[in-house]
Amino acid sequence: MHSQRILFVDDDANLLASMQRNLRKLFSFDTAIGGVEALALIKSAGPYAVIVADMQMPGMDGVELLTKVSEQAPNTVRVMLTGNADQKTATDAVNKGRIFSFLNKPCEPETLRFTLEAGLKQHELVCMERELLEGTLAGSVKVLGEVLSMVDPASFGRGQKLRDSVRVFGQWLGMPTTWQYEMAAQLADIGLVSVPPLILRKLGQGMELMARERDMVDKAPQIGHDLLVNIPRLEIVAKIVLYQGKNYDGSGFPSDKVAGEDIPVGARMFKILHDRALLENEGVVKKRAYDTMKARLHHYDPVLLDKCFKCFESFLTNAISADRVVLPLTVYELQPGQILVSDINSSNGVLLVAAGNRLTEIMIKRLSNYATFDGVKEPIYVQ
Amino acid sequence: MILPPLNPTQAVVVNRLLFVDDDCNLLAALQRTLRKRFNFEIAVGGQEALEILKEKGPFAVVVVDMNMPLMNGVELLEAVAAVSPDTVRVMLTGNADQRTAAEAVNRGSVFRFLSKPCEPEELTATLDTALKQYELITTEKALLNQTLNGSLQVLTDILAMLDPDAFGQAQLRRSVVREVAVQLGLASTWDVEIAALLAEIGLVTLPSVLREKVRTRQVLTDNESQLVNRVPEFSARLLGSIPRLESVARAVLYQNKNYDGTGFPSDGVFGAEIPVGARMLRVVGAVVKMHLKGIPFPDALRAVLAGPEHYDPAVAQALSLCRSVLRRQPQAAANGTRSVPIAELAPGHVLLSAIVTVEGTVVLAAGVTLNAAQIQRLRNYSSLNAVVEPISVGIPTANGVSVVK
Repeated sequence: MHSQRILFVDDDANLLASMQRNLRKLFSFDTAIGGVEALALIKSAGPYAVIVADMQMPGMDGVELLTKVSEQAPNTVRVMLTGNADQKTATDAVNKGRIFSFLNKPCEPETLRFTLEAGLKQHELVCMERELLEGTLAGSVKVLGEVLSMVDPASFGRGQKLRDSVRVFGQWLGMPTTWQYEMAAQLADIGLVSVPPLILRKLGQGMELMARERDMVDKAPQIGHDLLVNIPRLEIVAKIVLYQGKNYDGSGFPSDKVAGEDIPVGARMFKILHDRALLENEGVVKKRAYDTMKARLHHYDPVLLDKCFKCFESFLTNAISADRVVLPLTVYELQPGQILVSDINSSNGVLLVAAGNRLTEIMIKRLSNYATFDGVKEPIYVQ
Repeated sequence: MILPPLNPTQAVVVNRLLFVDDDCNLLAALQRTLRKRFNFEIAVGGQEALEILKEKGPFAVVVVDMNMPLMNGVELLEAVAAVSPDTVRVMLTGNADQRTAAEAVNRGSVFRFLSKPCEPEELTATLDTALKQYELITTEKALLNQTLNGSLQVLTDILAMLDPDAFGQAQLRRSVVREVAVQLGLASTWDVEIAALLAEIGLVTLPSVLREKVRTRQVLTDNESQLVNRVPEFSARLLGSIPRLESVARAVLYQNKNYDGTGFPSDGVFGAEIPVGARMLRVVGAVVKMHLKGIPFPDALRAVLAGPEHYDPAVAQALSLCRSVLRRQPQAAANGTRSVPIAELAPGHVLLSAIVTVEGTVVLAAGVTLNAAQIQRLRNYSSLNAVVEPISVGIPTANGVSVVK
């Protein structure tokens, strides 16, 4: 949940003390004497939902303080307390400090309370978008992605691993947010539902496909893109899904003129991670993986490729690592977060979860339900 | 009969402003200066403003003069707040004394004041901020109604193809639940819609052998039926960890709870204490299940209402008022309808019977409204000669779904 706290800044300690007496029952708030202390407090105890700053303070005045706050904590709602609301102060505060509202000194308790409540509400509005996109939307898609990987592990088994890797890679690259890339990783294969299971089975077993069958599989990203493209705010996600298999030199699907930097960065990241994960599954790792990928001229964004091997020196996220102990467990001993070293199959040979997946609560629940009835092949090897 | 749209996209308001003053000259001058930067309408006086709001609304921002004869600015803003609560309100005033300001804030929820005469720069800056504010306010609704609902719809459509059992009824259940929610006057529908889409998601945790037994209505052992009864709990657990879906998870948990307090989960909760979403799912789920077996909606509803105290009478009453639901053709009752080859299927067509492969596997369940991916899947199947054709569909017309003759 987002912060509900208010920071009061004035140079007058008495005024701050009386504010605290009047308001502490209604709001949760801190006080700071002067701008320097306020900025330090935001750093150590922030973020605050609302900051109320006095205009006239020695050293750093209110406009200067609120301007700095708008840079350091852009989501904090800014309120200015002023005795001299002349035109210039007002314009300055609005244009430079981008403040939410003014309070006149002396300020009626009613007005103060009303403004603070409005400020908190405003903060909620400002944070809502992020919370909805990165919490609710990404969370829902994650759950449904896991369901997809259970219903059809052969087609959707790789989503989770790629999602976790793209998040780590994106954060390592310093990207401010990675939810779109994570979602794209999870949704990359939805176009495969247009391909009959028989063909997917042939594909999974590495059998030769007929030209017509190959064509169906190749066009899957287009179907995935078309499903997503009409959903507001998923435009980037849809684009990444479309260009997931495109080579850096512009060859590959879709056959358009887009090449190099014009391919969405998420798609360029995705292609590298996806191909590297395939090599990993075949046991080609570390320098051998790097050399193999480097040798495929013009397939990958060269800068991103190098960075990918700097970010993940040996393995991608959730990789089965030679350095960690492998535990043989029964279904009832499994814990969320463990990584599967081998496929889990039911007693009659149905693939339940593919190797390389990180176990989640729902997967374990399903496995224990299976264990009660059909039986699951044990032990299960995890790290 | 009108099919509700799949993805309700609300009217998009692009930067629209409404300027209200009693001074025509001032309005004309404003129009000259601002029409290049903003997309706006003008109204002379409060009465005209309210009419324009009604005809051409919603507006993102409304700017009103304080001093107008007949209806002053505060009164107008109060009326605007009532008919168009999301519209951001700005007050233009020559006499911004303390009382006017307090009144405007408290009664009209004013966002910004502008004092007359107003510098063009200050005016445009304020209008920009107000437009941004409107975006902020409407973001939540847009995100919940379009982005979240749209994404979940796509994923459940896919799951309906892979697992018609657990997700095949989701689409129909959702559209009925939405209409019931509107009929009940619920403030938001996105949460009950999501609950309707994902109510049976917990089925995926059941072993396939058990699911097959459930599907073919075989007798279950105690152990097995216990597990099946707990499916709402598994569904709720899956959704419980998602921020802001707490109420959705609760509705899903209680979806099989009877109005008299019997049923799963066996706790002391009954009657109005059961979440309203769950009470809706209980009725709608029962009616949709019967409908998909070929019973017309009105008959299914009558059967439900005649039953024991399982259902919330208020919800059942609301459902009985949803005319477009009651007029829907039962899918299996479409005897004697003509059919189309796969090549002629188009998005929006409603399947009147299940599509099966030549081996007898269900590819898509009856009652599904087709989307592009599903059609592509069918075409791919058909190019391998793997699907039984032709296919009987209902095609949406201006008046709703008509059965192809």
